Amino acid sequence: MVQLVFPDNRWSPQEYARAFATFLASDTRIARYRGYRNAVVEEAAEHLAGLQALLFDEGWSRIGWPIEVGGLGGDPVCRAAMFETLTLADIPLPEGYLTLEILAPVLLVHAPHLADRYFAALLRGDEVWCQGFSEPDAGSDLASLTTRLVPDGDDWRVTGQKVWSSFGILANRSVLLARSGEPGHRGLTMVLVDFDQPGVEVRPIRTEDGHNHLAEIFLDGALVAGDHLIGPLGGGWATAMYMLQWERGAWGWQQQGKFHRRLEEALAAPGPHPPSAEAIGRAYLATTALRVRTRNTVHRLAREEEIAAETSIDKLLLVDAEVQVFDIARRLLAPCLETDDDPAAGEWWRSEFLYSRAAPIYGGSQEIQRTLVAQRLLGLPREG
Amino acid sequence: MDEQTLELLRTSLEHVLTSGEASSFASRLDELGWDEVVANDDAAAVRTLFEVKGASRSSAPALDLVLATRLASLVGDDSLRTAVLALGPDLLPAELPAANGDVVVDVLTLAPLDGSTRLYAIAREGDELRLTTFTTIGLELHSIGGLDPSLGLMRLVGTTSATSVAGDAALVREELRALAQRALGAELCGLAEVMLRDAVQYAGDRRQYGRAIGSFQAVQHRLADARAALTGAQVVVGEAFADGSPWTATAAKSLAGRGFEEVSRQCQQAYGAIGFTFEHDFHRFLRRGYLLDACFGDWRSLQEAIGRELATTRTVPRIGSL
Repeated sequence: MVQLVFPDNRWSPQEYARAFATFLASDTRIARYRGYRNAVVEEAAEHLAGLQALLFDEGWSRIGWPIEVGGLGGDPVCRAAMFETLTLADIPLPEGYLTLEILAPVLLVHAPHLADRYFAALLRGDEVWCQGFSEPDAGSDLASLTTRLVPDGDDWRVTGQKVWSSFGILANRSVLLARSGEPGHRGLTMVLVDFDQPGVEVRPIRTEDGHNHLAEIFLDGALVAGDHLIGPLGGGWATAMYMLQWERGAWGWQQQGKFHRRLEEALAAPGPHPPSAEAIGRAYLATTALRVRTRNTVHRLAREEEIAAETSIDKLLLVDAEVQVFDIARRLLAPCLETDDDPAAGEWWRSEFLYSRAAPIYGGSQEIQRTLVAQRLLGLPREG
Repeated sequence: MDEQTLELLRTSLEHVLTSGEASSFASRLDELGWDEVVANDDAAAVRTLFEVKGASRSSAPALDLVLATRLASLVGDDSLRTAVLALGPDLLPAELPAANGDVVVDVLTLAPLDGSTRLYAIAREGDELRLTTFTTIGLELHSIGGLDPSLGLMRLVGTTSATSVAGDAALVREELRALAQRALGAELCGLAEVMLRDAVQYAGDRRQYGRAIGSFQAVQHRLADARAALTGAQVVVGEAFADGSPWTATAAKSLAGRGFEEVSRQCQQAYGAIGFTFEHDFHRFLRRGYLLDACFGDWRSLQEAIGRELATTRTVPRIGSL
C-alpha cells in the first residue's frame, strides 16, 4: 500500500483533521469500517482492532502523543481531532481509544517506565487494558474498597474482587486500585495486573442490552511485579483522581461526537410519529452544551491544567445529553427499536438506547457528581 | 483580553452601568474609552458589558447602544448611532405595515424615550421589506410597568411618516437579531450567576435542624444542577461571541434562558419563604430574567425553532470547533 501522506506533527488540529479526512476518504482499506454497526461487543472489538492497527501503522493515531513512548509528538488536541474526523466519516471508534484516553495520561505522568514498555502496544490495540476500581461493596464509595495488596519479596500479591470493569473480557491487563495500607483513601495504591496468570479470573457481566459490556475480576493472590505500581505506594487515591478528570472530561468529547451522529441518523429516517420540534431542539442543545464544554476541557487538559472537580460539570452535561439524545432517537425511529430485528438496525439501536440508560451511573453516579459540584465548586458545607 | 484587563473592564463597566441616568449612559461609556475597548476585542467587550449588566441588574440602554452602533456601520450612516430599535408586541424586532411613506406603529422599546428620539424598524409593503426610521413625534407614548418596572419600557402607537434607509433590510435584521441574542444570552448568564452566588451564600448561612441547610443533599443537588445548566449556557454564549454565527447566537440565547430558569427555580426553593417576599431582592432578579428571556425569542420558542430546522434539513450542525 502506498502511503499517501505521513502525518506531520507540526499540524494544528484543523490541519490534522483535513489531512486525516482526506486519508479516510481515499484509502480503500477504510471502507469496511465505514457505517459498521454491530452490537455484539466481542465481534465489534475484533473487527475494529484492524482499524486501530491500521491507524497506528499509518501514523494517524500517534500524533498528539509523546515521541518518547511511541507517539509522533505534536498537539495533543489532534487526538480529539482524530475522534471527530472518524465520527464525521461514520467510522465507529475502537473501544481501545475510549480506555486509552483515560488510562494513558495517568501512565505517562505516574508510571513513565510502564508507558515506555506498553504505550505503543496499547495505542496500536495489541494490548487492551481495563479499569479495576469498583467492588461489590465499593461503588460510589470508592474509598471503602477492600481488595488487598500485600508485599511478596520484591513483588506484590493482590486478592479480592473487582466489578463493573468496562470491556474487561477483552482486556489482557487491568489498572487496578487496591488497599495496601490503612482504611480510607490514604491506604490505596494503583497497580497494573496481568490477566494471563493463575490467580486471575475474568467473567463477563451481561448488561441490560444483552451484551457483555462489563466484567468482574476475581483475584486470588495474583502476582503484581514489583515495578507495576502506578504512582507511589499509598498514593492511589490521588492517582485515581487524576485519572478521573480524563474519564469525565476528555472522554465526554468522544461521546458528544457520537451523540451528534446518532441524532443525525435518527433524523434521517423518521418514523410515522416523530416527536415535537421542541423535544428535538432540547436534545440538540444539551449535546451542544456538552460539546463546547468538553472542547474547552480537552484544551485545558492539553495545557496540563489541573481541573479536578470541574469535570463533574462535564459529566452532568453528558448525562443530560446522552439521555435526551437516545430518548429522542427512540421516538424518531419508532417503532424500529420496539419491533425491528435487523442486527444493524433495530437490534443495534436497541443496544445503543439501553446502554444510554447507564449514563447517570457509569464513571461516578449523577448523585456523586452533584455532591462534588455542590461541595467542591459551589463551596457548600459537607456537614452542618 | 487577559484576565487582569477583563477584571479592570468589569469594574469600570459596573460603575458606568449602575450610576447616573439612562440618558447619559452613552456619554459615560464613551468617557470610559468604549470605542477603543471594542476596537481591541469586540467580542470580549460586548460579552463583558452584558454580563456585568446582568449581574448588576442595570437598566442602562446598553442593548440599543450596541445594536444602533452595528446598524450605523452596516448601512454606513453615523447619524443612526443613537437610534432605538422598535420591538413588536411580541418583543421581537417589529415589522410595520407601510403604505405611501407612512408606517402603522404599535411598538415597544426597552428603554425610556424622550420626545424626539429616532426609532428604526423593518417596514413591509406587500412583499417588499425595507429598513425605515421615524421619530416619536405625533405618536402616543405610554410608559409600561410590565413584569419588570425598573426597565422603563415604553409603548408607541399611531401612524407616522417614515424615512427609508438604504441597505439590505433582511440582512440587517438577521445581523441585529444575532447580536441581540448574544448580548441577551450574556446578560441572562450574568444575572443567573449572581442569583446562584447569593443563594449558595444563603444556603451556607441559614440553619435549620441545627445545621446549615446547604449541607443537606437535597439542597446541594438542586444547586449543583443549577450550576451545571448555567455553565453549559455560559460556554455556548462564549462560543456565540467567538464564531459570530446567527445559528450559535440562537442556541446560546435558548440555553441562557433555560439556564436562567433552572437557576431561578432552584434558588427560589433554597431561599424558602423569605425569597418569596417582596422585600427580598430575589423577585427583582426573577422579573428581569423572565423579561430578558422573552426578548428576541424565549428559550422554548428558540429551542422549537432549532428543532424544526434540524427536522427539516436533517442535518445536525456542530457548534464549536477544536
